[in-house]
Amino acid sequence: MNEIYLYTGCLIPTRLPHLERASTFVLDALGVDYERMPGQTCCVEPIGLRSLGVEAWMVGAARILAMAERDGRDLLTLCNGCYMSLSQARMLLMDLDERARVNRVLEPIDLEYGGDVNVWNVAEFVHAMGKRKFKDTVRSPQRRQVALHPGCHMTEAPIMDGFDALSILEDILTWCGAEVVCWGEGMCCGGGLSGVDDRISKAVMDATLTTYRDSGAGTVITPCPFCFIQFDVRGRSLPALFLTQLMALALGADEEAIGLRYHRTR
Amino acid sequence: MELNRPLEVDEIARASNLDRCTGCHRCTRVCPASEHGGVVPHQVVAETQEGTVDLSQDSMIWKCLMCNICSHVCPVRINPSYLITLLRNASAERGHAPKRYMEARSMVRSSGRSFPNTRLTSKMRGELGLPPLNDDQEAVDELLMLWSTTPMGDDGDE
Ligand code: SF4
Ligand code: SF4
Repeated sequence: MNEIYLYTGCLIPTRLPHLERASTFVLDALGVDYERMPGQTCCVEPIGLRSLGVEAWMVGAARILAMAERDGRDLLTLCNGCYMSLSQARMLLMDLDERARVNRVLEPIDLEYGGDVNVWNVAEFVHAMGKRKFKDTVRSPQRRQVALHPGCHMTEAPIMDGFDALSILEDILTWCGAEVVCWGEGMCCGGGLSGVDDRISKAVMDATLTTYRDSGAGTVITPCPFCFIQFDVRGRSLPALFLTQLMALALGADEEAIGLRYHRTR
Repeated sequence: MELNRPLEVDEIARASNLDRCTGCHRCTRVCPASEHGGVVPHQVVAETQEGTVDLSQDSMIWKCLMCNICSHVCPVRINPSYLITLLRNASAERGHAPKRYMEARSMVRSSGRSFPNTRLTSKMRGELGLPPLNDDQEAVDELLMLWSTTPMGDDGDE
């Protein structure tokens, strides 16, 4: 593993800084050496903004990959959207013709991407550190029944062969002491149409939350801040925790210190 | 391929291998939006092939969640959600993109981020002991220079 740039993206540091706080708590507790990436811009957001221009999406993502590579760092993402954008761009840039084409666009800003950066989702990263490491650090097992909501974009273009988002997430939840009673594979939070078609967005979210509530889960856990905001701010019918919040609690974080008071649904 | 303009519908159809579609409707059966009156992905595939797909702001292409679930189940590896992305690019070029997405674009153009850095942001970050979030004009300028080579760089509306 190279040294790490923490790529925080846009939604978490602006609207959900408590999720950033829980994430840095986890990285510190696990002894990860990281630095917040300097010069970062939007990943480029892969739903709305990519809908406006796939080429703008590609060159924006390529700039971030090339900067990380120049600085000898891997990218660690906290958001399914950032993860999807950067890992899909990384995959598309394995094609040498496409890389050469995009590098011609990057040239005026003195960047060149050579195809050698890893993009980690925080779940994938913690899982790769290993069960022993995590379990040895657990201070306060979170014995609760949870619904696991991976979010639609957790499964896009991972680094590792045989990557299975759902089982990686389930492992981590189990290491935290939680019991998964509902697996939300293929369940959508409706966030992609929030603010665009709120009727469809809400109908999709309600169907998903109803499934989770009916399973007997007391909390829904998600690694995606867009899904989190749907459930916590708009759904308001089942308490939600961001993945790193559950991890932080298990690793002994104080609820106050990681800002659980900012939650709208408790 | 020219990338300083979005692809037109006939080019999108050719680039997306739509002639492979068997009409099995699996994409639509799993589509969460279609269940609630939104996009019907197999219909978008068929209409793109026929050249009759609607690119207006009321089109069903703007009623898609971009969840990619359709793309995971297509037996002939058509990628309906990416197809819809390309059609949206063509629609956006005609000025039909939803306001919400255009606002996000303006935010990125001014701050580099697609969400606003507000007073509440500073307050929460302070309370949590996180470093303040500063705009990085140099980074924004770099991104805008890259964007100026793409259709998103055309900002007649700003
Ligand atoms: S990406 Fe769009 S068309 Fe495909 S399943 Fe999701 S909502 Fe339906
Ligand atoms: S799943 Fe694939 S083959 Fe079946 S209708 Fe949809 S696009 Fe066509």
